Amino acid sequence: MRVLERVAALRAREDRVGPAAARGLGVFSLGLGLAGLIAPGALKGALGLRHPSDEVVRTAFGARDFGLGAALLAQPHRPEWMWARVAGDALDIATLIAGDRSDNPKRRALRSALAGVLAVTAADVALALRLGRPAPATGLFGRELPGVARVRGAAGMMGEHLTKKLHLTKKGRLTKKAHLVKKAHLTNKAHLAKKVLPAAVLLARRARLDDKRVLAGGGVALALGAAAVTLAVLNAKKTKGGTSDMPQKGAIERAVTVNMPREALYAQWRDFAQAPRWMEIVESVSETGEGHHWVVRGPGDKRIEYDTVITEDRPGEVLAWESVKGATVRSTNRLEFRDAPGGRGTEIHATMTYHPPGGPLGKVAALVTQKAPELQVRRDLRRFKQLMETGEIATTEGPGAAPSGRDKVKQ
Amino acid sequence: MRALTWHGKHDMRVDTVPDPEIVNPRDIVIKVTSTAICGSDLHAYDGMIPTFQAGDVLGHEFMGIVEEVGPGVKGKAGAPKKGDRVIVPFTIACGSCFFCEKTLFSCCDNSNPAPNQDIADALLGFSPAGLFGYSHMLGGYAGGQAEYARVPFGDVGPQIIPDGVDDDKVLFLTDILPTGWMAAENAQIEPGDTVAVWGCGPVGLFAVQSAFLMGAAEVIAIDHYPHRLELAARFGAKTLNFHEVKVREALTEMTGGRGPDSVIDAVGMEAHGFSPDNLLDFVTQELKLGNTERPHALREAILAVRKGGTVSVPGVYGGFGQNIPLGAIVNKGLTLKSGQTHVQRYTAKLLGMILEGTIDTTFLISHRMSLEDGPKGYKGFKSEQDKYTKVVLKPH
Repeated sequence: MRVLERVAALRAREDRVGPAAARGLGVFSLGLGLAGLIAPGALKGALGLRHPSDEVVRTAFGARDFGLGAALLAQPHRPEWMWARVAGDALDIATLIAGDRSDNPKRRALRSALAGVLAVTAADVALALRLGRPAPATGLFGRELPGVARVRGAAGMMGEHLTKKLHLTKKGRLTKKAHLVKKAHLTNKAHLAKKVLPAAVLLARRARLDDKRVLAGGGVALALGAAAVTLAVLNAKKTKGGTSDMPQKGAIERAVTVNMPREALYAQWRDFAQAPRWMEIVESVSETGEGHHWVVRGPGDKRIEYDTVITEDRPGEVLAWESVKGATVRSTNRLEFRDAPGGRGTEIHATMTYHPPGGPLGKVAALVTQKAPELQVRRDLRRFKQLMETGEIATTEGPGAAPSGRDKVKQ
Repeated sequence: MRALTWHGKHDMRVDTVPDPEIVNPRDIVIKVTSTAICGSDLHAYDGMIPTFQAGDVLGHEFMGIVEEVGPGVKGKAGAPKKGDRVIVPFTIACGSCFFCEKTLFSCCDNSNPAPNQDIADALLGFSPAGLFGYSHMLGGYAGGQAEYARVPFGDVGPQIIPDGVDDDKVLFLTDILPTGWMAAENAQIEPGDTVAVWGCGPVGLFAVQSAFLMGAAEVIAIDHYPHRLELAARFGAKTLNFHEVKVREALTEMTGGRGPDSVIDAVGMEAHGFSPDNLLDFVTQELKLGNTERPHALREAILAVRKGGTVSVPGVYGGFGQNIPLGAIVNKGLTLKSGQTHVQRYTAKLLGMILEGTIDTTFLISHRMSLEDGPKGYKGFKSEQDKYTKVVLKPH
């Protein structure tokens, strides 16, 4: 009797906590959806996702989150909205994993986002399970959740299919050893599908019997997610321990060693009109009498023009310039030319600050279009070194420089 | 022109692509007469090397006739002229940076384009030299398995070949012969030493030859393909088939309980065999669980080498491996040496040895094919390693 009372009490509590949490997630969804609808490109850039179609996808994701948020707020008792959120989470995870590539410069940010999404997914699953199965008549997934039997059956069929295919098509041609290797390789994947998937579903189902465990799991996942984000933020804030004599807040520092005497390097850089040869986004630099007029290509190849004056000029040692008051781009630049120890050429230490037009949005735009100043400084110094040491700048851009099957010639 | 292109794991095609051009002053363009498939191309074929893109032209072992020279090469003393026959080192090097001056050509500062260096920085700490046809991290250069190829720094790398010498005799100067030679050099062999070599592919076999030339008293070659072991035995090596014997026990026994003085891992990231560590690597590598390598041979070599010995690693590794016996390196006082080959350091010397008959490399070639049959060449070299020891393609 007491057991039944306790069950009833638990149920009653569930009814309050579950829907309240669902409402909370609804607000979260709504916010995420709004962000996705208003600035789909910002997120894409921050995470280094770069396919043009991503923007369309992000907008669609935004619409989805917005819709689900509204639905959850309106009907917080209905588990099917929570399950729809879980399905959406799966899509997000897939998108993020696809962007997790070694050439993604924003990989760390993307992984933090992934950790966050995983944590949210855990919370979503926990809550969806807590709210119970959808009613048979109205359930989005029909009468059954995608259950153990169905998953197990599918995995089993896949494993069987792979093994069969292997025997039918490969057996005759492969040597015995190669056959074993191939088989081990395939069965590994099949085994994984067969064993891990049903186990995961079983775990999820068992976890539903004990709400505390679900909540604890969700809590741990959320905490881990938060910790991952915090670590990423802390890491991003670390200074690089530069050796410049003039450390500045928010300054970008980068050094390169060039196998040439200081004077020659200074002289080349002092000839500002030549800068477009090694500065990728600079279109032209011309003398203005007091300083220089710069034309650069900003995000979206938008042309940006501004004037600079030289603030320090010690031949063979220091060259510094900065934008004039009221310029569209606010920047300060300082190059120090130092003898490398042991007569091994010259170290060029570059320190710069850069405020593109458009404030924080401008910075995001620069990041997205690979025109972020830190990236440009790094690459420009490398190109300058290449030009000085070899007389040319290494490139594999364009079909003549690196022919590839991506530029197929029609026959 | 026609070119052999990579389109994904086990998907090589012959495409018609644009012709290469002189882009930079020190470029030359060559008409490719012979090009080989390298064992390291098989790592790319298996989809194991990061930053390949569909459509990339593969191939870093090639030679041919100079078709066009850039203004920075024209008239330069010792540089190739139009019509010269040259072999092209697979490492692209400028010849004037800090690293090239130290003859560390595969570490050249200037041959990897600036944006590509960013990728290498992230994965390796600093960017090495650009290589022909070997991923975008290493330059995104088009390779030489094509009718024509653009060769940057044509005044530094290419070695002119005298008339009357067959392509077959000198083609391997581009990579595998100097790679085998440098592997033996990195093994720091002293006269009377015993050297063990894992892997009797082209590099392993040349390492066996080189080790004897450098004074090794005994060389022990390890593989599981009988034909490849036979080839090693032909050069005087003792052989171990790892499917028949326990390698470490056998090595200890064969060296009087001491272990080989130097060991060479000419296997790299895709070790064969069914040892538990290799099977575990297989799973984590396939599932991409923080592991990109199957360094079974390297582990075995580190454990087998004698105290104070040297481990030389010419085998290709690409990313991050697991369970390397670091304790053995420290507590046995080992020296570990590796590197992509500094080909330019060795070409003239090894060409001399070929011309005077000290080294012969033609025994290795098992298959000659047209460029159009390239995909078949890859397939055979991958799946029938006992028969296919080396595939040479003739694009013209």
